[in-house]
Amino acid sequence: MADTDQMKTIADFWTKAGNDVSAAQQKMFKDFADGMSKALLFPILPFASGSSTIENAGDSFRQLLLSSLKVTDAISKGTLKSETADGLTTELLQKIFDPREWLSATGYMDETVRRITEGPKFSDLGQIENKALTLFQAFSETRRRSLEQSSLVLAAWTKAVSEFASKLNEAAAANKSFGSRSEIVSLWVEIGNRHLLEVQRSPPYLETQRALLQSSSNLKLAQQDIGDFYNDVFGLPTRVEIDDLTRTVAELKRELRTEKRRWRSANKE
Amino acid sequence: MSHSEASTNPDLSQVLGDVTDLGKKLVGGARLLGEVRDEDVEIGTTPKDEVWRSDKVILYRYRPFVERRLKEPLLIVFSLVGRYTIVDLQEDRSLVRNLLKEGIDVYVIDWGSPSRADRFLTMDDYINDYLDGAVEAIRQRDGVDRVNVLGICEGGTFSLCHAALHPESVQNLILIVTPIDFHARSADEPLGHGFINIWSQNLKPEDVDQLMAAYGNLPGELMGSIFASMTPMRTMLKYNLDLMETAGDKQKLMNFLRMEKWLADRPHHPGEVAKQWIKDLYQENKLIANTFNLGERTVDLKSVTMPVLNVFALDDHIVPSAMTRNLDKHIASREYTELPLSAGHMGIFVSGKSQAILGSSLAQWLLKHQST
Repeated sequence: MADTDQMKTIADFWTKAGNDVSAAQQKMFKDFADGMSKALLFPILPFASGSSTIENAGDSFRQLLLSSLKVTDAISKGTLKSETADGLTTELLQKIFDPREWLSATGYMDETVRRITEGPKFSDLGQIENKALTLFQAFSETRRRSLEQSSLVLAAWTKAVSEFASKLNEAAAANKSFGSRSEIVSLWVEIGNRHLLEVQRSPPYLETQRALLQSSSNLKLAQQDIGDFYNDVFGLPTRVEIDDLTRTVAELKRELRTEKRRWRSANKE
Repeated sequence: MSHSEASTNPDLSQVLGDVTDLGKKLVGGARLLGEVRDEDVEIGTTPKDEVWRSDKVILYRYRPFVERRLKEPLLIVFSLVGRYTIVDLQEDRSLVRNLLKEGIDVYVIDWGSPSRADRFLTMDDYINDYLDGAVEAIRQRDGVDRVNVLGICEGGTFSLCHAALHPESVQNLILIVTPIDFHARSADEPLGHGFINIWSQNLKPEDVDQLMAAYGNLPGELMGSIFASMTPMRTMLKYNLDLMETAGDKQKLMNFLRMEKWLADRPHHPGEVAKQWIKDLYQENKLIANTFNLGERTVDLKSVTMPVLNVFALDDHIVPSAMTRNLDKHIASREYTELPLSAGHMGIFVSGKSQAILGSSLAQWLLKHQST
């Protein structure tokens, strides 16, 4: 493989991966909106977009992802001095450069929040349109905030790759080689880590984190509200009732422990 | 390409060597991973017996290794975040074993696995009921007036509060990687340190309340995610590149898997305790201000009069050392010692370097300060 082929392979992979991520996000929203419009008695699309905020967030994310691909110009200029087809190195580097890896690994908060707040899917919406709408709006808000966070992470990743490509270019210009896989990986880890840590501490990221936590809490409460509605209909304990009982038991236990301590102290005397 | 070309081109030789090496590791690693079962990955194996329990909280006593040298037993109090088993991760990385070998009688509190049914437990319950109950149980069982207490991280904060409220029952207090001044930072702190401070202080109090209202407790998965985010690239590479490096070596692989087993066990943090932890301590720093209330009592750090050993990690990205140091300015102890160690937050318990120092240092200090 020629000098530039290795980086070009990575850049090509990145282009494809970036397009895949972007297209998948758009398809998800379209499919969901289509599904909702068939399930409900009235058009959901105006609500599905949340006044176009989700479409805007998704579009912004797509634009950012596509614009970040311009960095491939910088990458393609860089060269590795290795004159052999180190397919394993290329595959490894592709994996750690893959934006999907970054977004899934460092968008951990997004994945975790999504996983622990995903509740029951809509089935019978006959009597609880309002609650369902509240739930969907909470879901939409969570998705919007998640996309915002992903955008920030991707922006940091773009900067990291740009710096990494510059370092490779500098090395190439100075006729220096990165002969070993571990040297290349160490350089990427240092650069990537620094950019990620910097974005974590930035006000926009912190604000998005806070908003994402807020929206996921609202989503969980909306799910709970629907669950309690059905439980009440079918004569089952609701979450509110169980929490009331839990509080009563906790207070009773506290009093019991206090009395036991008093009894032990009195016994000693 | 000819053999002479391969041997004279340093880049090519090195890359070929790397690839061959990696290939061997991959093959060996795949075989080892296929052979290992969950039951093979054991942590917290030092033998112990249950001696007391209250609700989900269990007090264990470790079976002694040698004849007892220290008069007062030692109670280890871990955090509610994560499990106490980190102090007994494996035979050659066990603070517990090192202490037992020194003739220390060791107890440990297991806080259990809080569920939503525990969401209304407060710090007052944990410190003045469960922790004090455990201390009382040890005093009665061993026939001693006082007990040595070793608190770790949040468990250290609990132990410090307990010592301030019940100084008559604590002989010596040891704190390890314990946050005390939640607003203290140092100017030369590395970039990756102290993210929990930034994250929690960025939240509004009503955000915290709403989170607990929604989930009941602070989910263990959420805490795990926050910790993982503090080392983002390491988190990303841990299960591919890093694992490939260790997989071919059985000992390294088992060490890795034990650590992973501990990391995966993230109990939920009871809701009311979490609210106090984030709002009263991380956000308002009430402990240092002596305005931190537990039930009807206010924690006054000046009531801490017993000898204190404060151990902290210089490379601690979770509880930066500035948060743990200089406790002597706030307490009334006349015997205060700091022991800084070159390690990370949990590395202090599992790194090879710390193993050689921590257990023996604690034992020597305790023996020096036991009652006469």
